[in-house]
Amino acid sequence: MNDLLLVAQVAGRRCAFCAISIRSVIEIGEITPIPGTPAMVLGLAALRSQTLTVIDCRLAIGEAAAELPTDARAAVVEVDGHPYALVVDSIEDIAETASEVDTVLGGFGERWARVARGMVETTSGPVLLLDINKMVDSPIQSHRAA
Amino acid sequence: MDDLLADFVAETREMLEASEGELIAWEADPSDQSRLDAIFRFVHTVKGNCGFFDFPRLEQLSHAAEDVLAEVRAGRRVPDAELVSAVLAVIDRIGDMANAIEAGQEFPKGGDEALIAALQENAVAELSAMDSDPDVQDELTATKPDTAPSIQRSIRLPVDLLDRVMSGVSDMVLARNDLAHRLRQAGTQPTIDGPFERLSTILTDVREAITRMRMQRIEHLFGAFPRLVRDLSGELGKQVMIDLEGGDVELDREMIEMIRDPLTHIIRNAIDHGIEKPADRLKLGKREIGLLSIAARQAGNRISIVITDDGRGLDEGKIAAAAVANGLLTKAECEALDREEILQLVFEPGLSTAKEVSAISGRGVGLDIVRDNLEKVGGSIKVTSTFGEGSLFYLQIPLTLSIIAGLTVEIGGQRFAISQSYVEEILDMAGSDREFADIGETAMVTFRGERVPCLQLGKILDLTAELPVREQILVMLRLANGDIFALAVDRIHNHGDLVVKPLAPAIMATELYGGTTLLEDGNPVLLLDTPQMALNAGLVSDTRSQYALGAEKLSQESEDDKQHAMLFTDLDGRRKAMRLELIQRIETINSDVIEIADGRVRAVVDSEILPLIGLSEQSDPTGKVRVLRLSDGSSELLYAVGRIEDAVELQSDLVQVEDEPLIEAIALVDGHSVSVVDGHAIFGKFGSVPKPTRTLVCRLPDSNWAQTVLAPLVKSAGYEVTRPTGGTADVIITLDASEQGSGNADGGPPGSNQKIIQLRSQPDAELPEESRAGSIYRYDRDALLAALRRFGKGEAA
Repeated sequence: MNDLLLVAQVAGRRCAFCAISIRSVIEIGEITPIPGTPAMVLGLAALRSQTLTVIDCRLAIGEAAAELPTDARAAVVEVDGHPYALVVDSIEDIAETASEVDTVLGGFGERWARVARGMVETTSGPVLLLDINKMVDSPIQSHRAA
Repeated sequence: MDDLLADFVAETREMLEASEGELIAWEADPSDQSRLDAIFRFVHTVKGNCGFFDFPRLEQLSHAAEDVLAEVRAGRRVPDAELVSAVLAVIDRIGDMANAIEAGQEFPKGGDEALIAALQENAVAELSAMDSDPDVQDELTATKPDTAPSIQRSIRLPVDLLDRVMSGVSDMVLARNDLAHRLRQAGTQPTIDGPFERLSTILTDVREAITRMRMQRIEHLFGAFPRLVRDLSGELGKQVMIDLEGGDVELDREMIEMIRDPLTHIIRNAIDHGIEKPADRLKLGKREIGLLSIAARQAGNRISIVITDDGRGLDEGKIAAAAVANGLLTKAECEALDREEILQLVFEPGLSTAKEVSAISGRGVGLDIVRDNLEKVGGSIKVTSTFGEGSLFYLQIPLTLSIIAGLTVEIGGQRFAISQSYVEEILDMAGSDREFADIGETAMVTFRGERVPCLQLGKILDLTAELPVREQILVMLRLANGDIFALAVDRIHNHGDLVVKPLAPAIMATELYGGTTLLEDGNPVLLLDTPQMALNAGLVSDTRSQYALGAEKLSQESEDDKQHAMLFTDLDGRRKAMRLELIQRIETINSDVIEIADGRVRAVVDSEILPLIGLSEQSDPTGKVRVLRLSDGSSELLYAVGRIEDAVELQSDLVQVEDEPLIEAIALVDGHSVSVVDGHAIFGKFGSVPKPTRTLVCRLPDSNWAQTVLAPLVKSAGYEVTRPTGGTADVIITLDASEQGSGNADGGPPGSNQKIIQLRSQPDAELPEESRAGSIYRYDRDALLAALRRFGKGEAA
């Protein structure tokens, strides 16, 4: 089983998303901020005639984004009919999986475990496979908890 | 193929499809009366149509089925599985035949008799025989491929497919707007601009067509009401006539579904609680048959539906008592409300004034849910009522769910949209001396004589406003329950139709926004969820607070003192004010519709001839003239003005004037004196009273008193007075019972269409109560005039 992955740097770690669920990778233009939303919701961006909800993956995971580099490109995904743009440190490349999704001994750490599906070996080394649904879900939960 | 025939086939197939479900359900439960009724209607209609088109076979089949179903309906026959199967077989055959007719083919002969025979009692053998008869079976199956419809006039589509197309087209419109913006930036490029224009036009057409695809005439909804009314009134022993108007108004089919239950509920209520029993109605002097009328109108992006009944109306005393009893309000709060406000309490949860629980409309649940459901789709509901005369429910709903009229506002450099339907008025705080007070954390602003809470959008969104509060613009928003609150923003931008898209759950969780839309420059903008904002701010958290605000009406600013007037400059250049209540509309008329005759000026507006005043004596009007259309409730007149300025609040200290007959007083507005036009005087002088179709004749008793004292009063009531003897009269007035006989002897017996008013010399106080009835004390001016007016009305109508 050789699935395609989109490899990206997230908070300084090599991570990956399932390439099938990525609609496209776009240059993010102007972002309209949304007052009152959790920090990880950066705002709205227009993609052609669609409105994307821009999510900062670093903040969604719980890492600080301020001192990290930020790619001008973002991955566009769709969850429950709503389009999102995921902002990361940098988007690297497409890679093929070379192993099954697996856990590692000792876990990924609490914050990462929430959004991780597991570790995957790729042709360019091991990456942490992230769960897109959890990524866009997490702001709501943290908001409700707050 | 003949159009009529095509309609017949289409109708038959439509009904067949509709009754398919009924058939299955009936098969499962043959005792279900309502299913049976539906199937009966189907065969009955087919039978009627067949006779018209001369399809003897179809007619024979449907007739046989109808007979059997009638037997079942009458309870003479018990439906069993065999009977159901036989009816189903007949209906299948009708469908096959309709297909054959549409395709213009001859339907294979034979088989009908077997089907009809199967309908008869004890026909088990025949039916099973037919089932096993290979010829008949083959015949039936063989016809099917041939009868594939060759002409398809309409197709059925799932609504979500339409929705997808609709949202695709909306996207295209937005993409077009984006492209237009980029093209404008790039400057004129003739080779691109031309085709782009064409694309734009086509897209607009397509969008319109798609929007219409989702539209349905409200008739579809209205269609079920006559039946509902008939059944309900029959059940309750009442007589109700329903009058439907505006069935051709179209609205989003989704919206039709949303308002189906609320409308049904209001109709049930009206029949159950509103309209009285025929005997009671007669006693009250009403027509035996109650009238329920439902009218739909489209106004811009909204549809209004008005439901009126001429029943007993709402009793505000009872409503208030129920509200107090249920703990919605305290007695004191109730007393502070005016009648209109009390009536709106019927939409509060847990309030019912119904004395008995009935099967038709339950108790305490209902109108609150009606209001909730309407508000969910951005609609509103209000009620007005005159006790004893009827009530009126006024519903407003948006045309579609996805396109709304919106207003763009700016705060702290960022734009937001507000649904136009909530916007009552926009006030500029800069340069106005509007009263503004900080009460604790809440700011209050005076608007139309009431203190209303003012929310600062900057504070809510945690954005820094660019302007201090006193220079901001207040958007006055009206909530569905009628309460008003102000939203302070920096700036107002344009407004227009917005295609609203849903927001991601993470953003909805803020409870601040209702959706998002793209502006023309392609930037997303958020639609503010203003009702939710008000709710979050505790402005509508419960009934108590919302009516407490209403009760906060300042006593020194009661309606007597706070008066609104329209400020204008008349044709002589004088600044005047006209009370707002008098103004019906502002119209612009052409000078050629103005006629001057006998020193009276009249103008034609909306094919009505109305008196026109206010024209300057020297100048002849030329070109277009702005006029205020005034109404005193019964008559109308026009008032020509030069320039219309603004609506203002009149201060309480009006200075009365004596020398000018048509001026009521002088008011101070912004430090300048303004003459307030005397509505009473102008209507008294120029207003025309609507004339009854013919003047009624009244015969008076033969006495000096009648000729000198009574006659002028009768004349002033609009009657012609005739000699005491001879001639015909519509109304006869007699004085003291003894004179009635002589009156009759002189003038002949009163005809059936004559009405008699009996007067007597003894005042009410000198007579026992029972002998007062039927006659009026001769100096009881009010009662006499009322009687004359009542007869006059009856005649004019």
